[in-house]
Amino acid sequence: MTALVIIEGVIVLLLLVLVAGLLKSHAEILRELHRLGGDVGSPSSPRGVAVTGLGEVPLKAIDGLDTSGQARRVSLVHGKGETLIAFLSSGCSACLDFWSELGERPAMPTETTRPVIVTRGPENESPSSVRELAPRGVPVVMSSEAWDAFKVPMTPFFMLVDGKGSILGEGSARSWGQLLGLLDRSMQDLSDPVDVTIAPDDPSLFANPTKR
Amino acid sequence: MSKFAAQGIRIDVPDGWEAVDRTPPEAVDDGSRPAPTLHVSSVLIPEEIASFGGPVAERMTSDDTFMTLIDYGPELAGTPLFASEGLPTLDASMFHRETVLGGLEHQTACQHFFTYEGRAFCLYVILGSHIDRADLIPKVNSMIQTLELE
Repeated sequence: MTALVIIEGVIVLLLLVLVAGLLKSHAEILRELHRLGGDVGSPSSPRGVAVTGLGEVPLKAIDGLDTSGQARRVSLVHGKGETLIAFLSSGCSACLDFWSELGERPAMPTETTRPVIVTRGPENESPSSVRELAPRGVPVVMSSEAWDAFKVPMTPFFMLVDGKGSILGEGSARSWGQLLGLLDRSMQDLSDPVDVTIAPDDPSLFANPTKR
Repeated sequence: MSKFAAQGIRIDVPDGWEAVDRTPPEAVDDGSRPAPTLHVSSVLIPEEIASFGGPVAERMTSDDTFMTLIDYGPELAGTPLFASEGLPTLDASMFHRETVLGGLEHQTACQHFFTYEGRAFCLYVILGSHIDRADLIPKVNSMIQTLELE
């Protein structure tokens, strides 16, 4: 009887260790996902989307080739409206809707937004496939250099940039409507920053930290 | 400024400007090569654009500049139309309102043919304002002086 109790106690202890290990690894996974910008566990938030909307573009202009293989430079810091950079790939199924949507002159985040499609360069992307997919009237630049500079994490990936090169929003989406919503929210967040300034007569300015 | 290279032509493009190689891709009927055509512009260059700017002029504000450079190659170099030798320096007297193709009344343009390093070129420049052309020309001249051929 005593031996049975001891064996049972050992089994319970092992199970406890196992459960604790699983909980710990699960917590680490959640922490890592959170760090990467994921939003696990929130059913109201769109999955696979990361909107940060901060900082400056790493390149003032994107140099690459157009769908005919001819050199093209698209300026991002031109002082004239916004640029919506769509990082798309010919082989990504989630990109297909965006390729066609962009050709139908969809609503843009602002009235002065110009869309630009950026794919990897011809060494990493199929120029003929890009040519078939490229919508009329939308600049397409094939540039692995830009892809690397912007550290594109996935496709499709979008970045909205103002005329001074500030990133107004970035992220991924499954549909055009979802993308517009995300960028709109990002722009609202940027235009309504948290006020962390200290007023001239703020009491904290007169506090004596040595006085207790 | 930073260098833009295409079709054996290298030119410094001011920050914030766009550049595109718009050399006709199709072979010319008589077997000659299509003339390399570069567009450089302070206004965003649309996808559908003619050799001499097409719809760009309509989008230009008074401080905008659009430039087309066409390389007609060595065959025409030194012929009467391209008799002017060396990189040109543009001045206000070379610009005329009526030279703008499909542009607006207050705009102005200049077309200049020249030979440089044994190749014949046509330079066509549209400025957003005829009245203020003297303010816009220096930037164009600075850019032209950076032209290099490979």
